[in-house]
Amino acid sequence: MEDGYIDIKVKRSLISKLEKGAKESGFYSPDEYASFILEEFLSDDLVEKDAGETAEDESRLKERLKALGYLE
Amino acid sequence: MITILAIDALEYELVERFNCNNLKQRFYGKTDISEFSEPRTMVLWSSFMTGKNMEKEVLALGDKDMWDLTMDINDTFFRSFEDPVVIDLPGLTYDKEQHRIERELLRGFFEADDKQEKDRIKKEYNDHAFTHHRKIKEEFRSAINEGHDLVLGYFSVADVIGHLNFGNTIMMKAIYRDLDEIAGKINGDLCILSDHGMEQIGMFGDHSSYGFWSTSDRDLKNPKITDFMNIICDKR
Repeated sequence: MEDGYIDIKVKRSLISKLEKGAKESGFYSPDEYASFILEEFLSDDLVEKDAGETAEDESRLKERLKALGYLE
Repeated sequence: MITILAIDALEYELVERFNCNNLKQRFYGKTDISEFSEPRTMVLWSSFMTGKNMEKEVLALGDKDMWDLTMDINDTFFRSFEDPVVIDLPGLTYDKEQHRIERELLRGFFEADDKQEKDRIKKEYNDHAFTHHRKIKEEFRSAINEGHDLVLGYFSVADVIGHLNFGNTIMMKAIYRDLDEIAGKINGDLCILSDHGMEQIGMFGDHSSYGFWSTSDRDLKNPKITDFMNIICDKR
């Protein structure tokens, strides 16, 4: 895993929330707090897993797309 | 200026779930498309433009040729405006090649034998749709600053991406937030509608049996898609 930080742009309107969140959660800076939030959001625990593609669902969709004129 | 956001497959339940307040405006609800046998994109947008049920005429063209339908603007309600701009609307200004490639990639997805190939095609399909969405956004942004009396932007991203990715909540939320942001930047009279919504089939999305509408000035209750011709022309 790579160490260190890179710069990412976020909307200016988020800075007050990041500052507040950092202060209330004991982080040293909004950057650290933002990193934490992103890590949590992108973790396997919190990211909603894809519904999964089943053959049955695919078959149903195919029939529906034919009925709707997408597939000849 | 009257602005119309024609958002294919914008789903009422997701607008609610993702708190898309700009898309909701002051009044919003579902449209009644029950008179149509199926919620077909070309049929519904043609009916929207003409103010009458176009199912018979459009279906008579066949599944292949209906996508190439280009109506005469004088047969649509846009004739009532002096200087309208209509971006990418099915049946009028549709980017046929763009959307033909989408259907081709969809076909390729179903024909692929292994998961790796399906994933590759799906990625290409998604990239193609998002690239087009960015292009349409730019065209729309320019058009609303040009002083036209009517601007309609047709956004297909929710429909195209939704068909293969509706079960990916994060992706769909990002799309809805983007569409909400587009709506939030429009000043003046804005009407938002979709031809139909979307409902989940596992990871995938099918067309639902109602559309979405919103306005800033009056409650339309449960309008038919063919009612919008008069609703919009009355705003002139």
